[in-house]
Amino acid sequence: MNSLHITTKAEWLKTKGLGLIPAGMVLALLAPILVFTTRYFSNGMNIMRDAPISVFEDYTVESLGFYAKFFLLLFIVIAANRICQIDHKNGGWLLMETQPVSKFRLYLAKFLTLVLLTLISIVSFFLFCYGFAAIWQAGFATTEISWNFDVTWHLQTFLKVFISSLGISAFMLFISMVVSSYIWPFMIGILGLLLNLFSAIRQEYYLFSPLFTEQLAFSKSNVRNLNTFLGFSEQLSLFWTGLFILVGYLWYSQKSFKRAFLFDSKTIGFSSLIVILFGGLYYFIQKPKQILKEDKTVEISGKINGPDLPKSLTLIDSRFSSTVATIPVNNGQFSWKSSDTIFPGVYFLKSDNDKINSTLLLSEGSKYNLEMFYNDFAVSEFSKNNRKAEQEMLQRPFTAEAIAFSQLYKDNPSKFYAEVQKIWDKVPKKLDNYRTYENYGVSDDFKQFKLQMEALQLLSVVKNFGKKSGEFKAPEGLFTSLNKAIEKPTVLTLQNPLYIAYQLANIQNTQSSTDTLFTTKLKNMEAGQVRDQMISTHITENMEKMTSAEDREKLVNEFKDDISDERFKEVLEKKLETLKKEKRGIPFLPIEMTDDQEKTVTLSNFNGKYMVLEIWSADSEASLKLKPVFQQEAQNARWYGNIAFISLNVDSDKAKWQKYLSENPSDGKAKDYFLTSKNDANGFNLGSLVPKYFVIDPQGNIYNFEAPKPGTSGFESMINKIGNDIN
Amino acid sequence: MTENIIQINDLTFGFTPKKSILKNISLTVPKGSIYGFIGANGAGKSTTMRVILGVYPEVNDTVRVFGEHINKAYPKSFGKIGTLIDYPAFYDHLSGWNNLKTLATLRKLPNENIEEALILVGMWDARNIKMKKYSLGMKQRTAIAMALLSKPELLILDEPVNGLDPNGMVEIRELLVDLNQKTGTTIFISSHLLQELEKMVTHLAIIADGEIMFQGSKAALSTKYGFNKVEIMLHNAGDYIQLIDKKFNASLLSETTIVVDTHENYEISHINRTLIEKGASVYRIAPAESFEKWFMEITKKN
Repeated sequence: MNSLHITTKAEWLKTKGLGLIPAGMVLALLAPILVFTTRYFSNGMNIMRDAPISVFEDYTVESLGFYAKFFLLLFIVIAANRICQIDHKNGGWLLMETQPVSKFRLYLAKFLTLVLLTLISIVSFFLFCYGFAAIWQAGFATTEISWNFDVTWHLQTFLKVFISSLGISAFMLFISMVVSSYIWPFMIGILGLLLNLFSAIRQEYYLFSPLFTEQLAFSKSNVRNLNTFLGFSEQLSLFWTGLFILVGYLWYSQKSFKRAFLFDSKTIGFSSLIVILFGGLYYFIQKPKQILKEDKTVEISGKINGPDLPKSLTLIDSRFSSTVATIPVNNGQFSWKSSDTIFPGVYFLKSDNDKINSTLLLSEGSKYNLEMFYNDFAVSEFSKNNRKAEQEMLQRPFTAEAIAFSQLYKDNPSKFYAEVQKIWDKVPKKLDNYRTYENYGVSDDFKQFKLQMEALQLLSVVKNFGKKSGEFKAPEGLFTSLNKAIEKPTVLTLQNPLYIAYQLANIQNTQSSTDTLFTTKLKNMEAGQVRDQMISTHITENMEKMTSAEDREKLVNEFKDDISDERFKEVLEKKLETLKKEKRGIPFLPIEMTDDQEKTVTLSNFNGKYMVLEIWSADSEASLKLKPVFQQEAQNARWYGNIAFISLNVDSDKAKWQKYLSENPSDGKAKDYFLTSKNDANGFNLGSLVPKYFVIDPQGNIYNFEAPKPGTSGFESMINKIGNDIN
Repeated sequence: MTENIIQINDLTFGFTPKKSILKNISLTVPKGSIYGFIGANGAGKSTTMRVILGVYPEVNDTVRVFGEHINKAYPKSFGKIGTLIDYPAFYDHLSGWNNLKTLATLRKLPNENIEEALILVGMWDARNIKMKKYSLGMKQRTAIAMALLSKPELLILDEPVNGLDPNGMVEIRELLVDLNQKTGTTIFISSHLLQELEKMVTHLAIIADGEIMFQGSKAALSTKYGFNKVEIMLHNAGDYIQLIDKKFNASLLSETTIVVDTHENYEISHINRTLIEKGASVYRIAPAESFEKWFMEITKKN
């Protein structure tokens, strides 16, 4: 060891004057500078959809992607190349090999030198992040963020960056040693970087590339999501490290590939052993793991961080919106355990302050440990759980490009169907190869469910395409294949809205589409969960479109007796109540208002768009607190072209409104107006309701008179729903 | 029995099994000798030296240094060996001092050794200049300093005076001879500059096309190949040839040249005196054949 230390010391001395330490530091500095610049020029847009956690952590997370996935790799490529070049030139290898040091130590010392340089760069990166974070928060930030420094988090992130870099270093050293020119190792390094970029675009994991480990490690920038302190990317990195140090050393010590591996039967035997050993190890490491469920109990625990902590969380069954459990929250901590049988499916965990709305996939033995952060504007949620692969797979679209193709080839149906066929053909392979970045795989049952979801998705796209192009002639093979996939629906498929919608569409298609025939067909279906869900979905969809409370009630009553599960009946009753409360469908009379230029506008100016209204007063503390949150929501929803955010002041004194606007300039995403018509024009005394939020639909009818407050999960869900309603 | 520092028995080496670069080479380098390894460019000198140093792998136990097979001897024995192989190896982005410091670190040597070595080769004043700014001669000197750094028992030098001016060559030659005489350092030195080695070596080996044509002491070479013939030039040589003792095996080469065999210098004086006493006009006495001429012939054959 002493000798290795001395050899490394000599190798280190050799790097003097190469400028590698400054290069490592400069590359480490670029990412934090980039983040600083982005924040600076985005005019306070640092209030993102993710809630802040701490000054240091947020800055590091933002910079990490640039650094770990690009600048660090670039540095390793350059450094490995440089430290090998000094020996490629002027007989350096020979000089070293005639010193009283073994070739293995020489090779290892070179690797350690590279690792040491990398370490300096990584440490610099973290220090630069802390420095810039402090400068930003002290001098430029517009919101208060915790100065908390979570040592464990920073240590974990640091170790993850560092260990994931070892394999890259070993590989680049090997390449730089084997290839004596400067340009080729550099080109190979750049090729690795491009491959990483390609993998990100295609959302694929290129595990075969030794330069992929950092990309894999930070597929999600925050380590709070990791089930284990260190994991897959580190295992893979250590594997590459071992392999390339061994292969590199053998190649180096024997001076040629042939002498090292294929010279005689002895070397061939040894080479074969290496291939078998490392091949087996690679197979074992990369094989997706399924998390073993320890027992049948379901556990949900975690911590919530934010102002005005909730008192409780409610676990809701998504099928019936029924409460499964109420979980008390004490100082942000919560814990719940149940040995009762739980129906496998999607559940929601909602907080009583409407800040938290998490989706959980529960079945027997599911264990979740959640960590949540929120402020007035956003929520950040991290989850350690044993349903990761399923949860992530559920959210991941495998056939999303079909929608794009339906637009692209709207005048070329045969091309469109050919593309859909290609997409569908690839799905089984994609599902088989699926893994999370922590290398968790899913069970065959879940793969079957996901396959059926994708088939349903494609069927829906194909049918919509047929309707729009007026030419529904999907090739028989494609159609049969998609339908065959859902012949035997899984338990999860049966309760999925897509499947229900598919079944409803099937009835509509097979009949000559009169309401009576459709209703008869629906009613005549075999009683059971599927029929209950189909009726429930059919009623809900129609109720949403109806403007009269009486019509809605009539519809529910027509089908009520055909529903066998009481819980579905309750869902419909609740929906009926909600829509009544929301005053859905009641026309809202156009009101008059002026903007800051004294120009008069009415709500009818916004017809054709959903209008999200904020009624506020400068005299109301609650109004003043929520107004910037509303602005932020408007900013977040700026991509939805069908929504107008209107902030309507109902003060009696216009000067107060003008004073507020001059002191708090808006970014214009939510339009500010002053109400000039009577504030009870619609029969509601708007002035008495502040702060009040409601939504008018594109036709000028009330969509929801009891809209949730901005900054809540309910508000976000509502915006997403209306934003996606582009018909 | 003389101790051999390097011993090679029947070494055959090639980068592919079918084509051998070195063929059945055998060498013995006695302790304390200055062993010249002579051959034309491409004859196999550098390859042999690299095999001796373990740079090229050899697995048949044909090469030993300090009595041990090289695979066992190295890297430990490198502590007793100083080398300069082919073109001087160095790190041109480092100063002369730091180049030596790198090696001193590996060999766990104090800074005094660096100072001594640099002063010895006359590079002390330029020690802080980066080596990329050195002239070829300066690089060569620094490389020699690197080889001498640990005061080795064995110096293996491949073409060490390449790039030096005539004065530099003489200096280095004197330095090596001095080192050999004062410290008993064994020097295994290669060159195609025959005149240089001819003057300094005690032993030598000749290599041509991967084969050893001769190896042994310089005296043995003279005996074996007759480097004892002397040409005596005089007017009317035929009139005087009978006067020379038969033991000198005199023969008439031309009207003005007689060739004799001598083994000691005084024998030449004796012949010269005899001829002059009989009235001969001797105007030149010179060796009949040079080592260089012989080398040219031997390498030409191959």
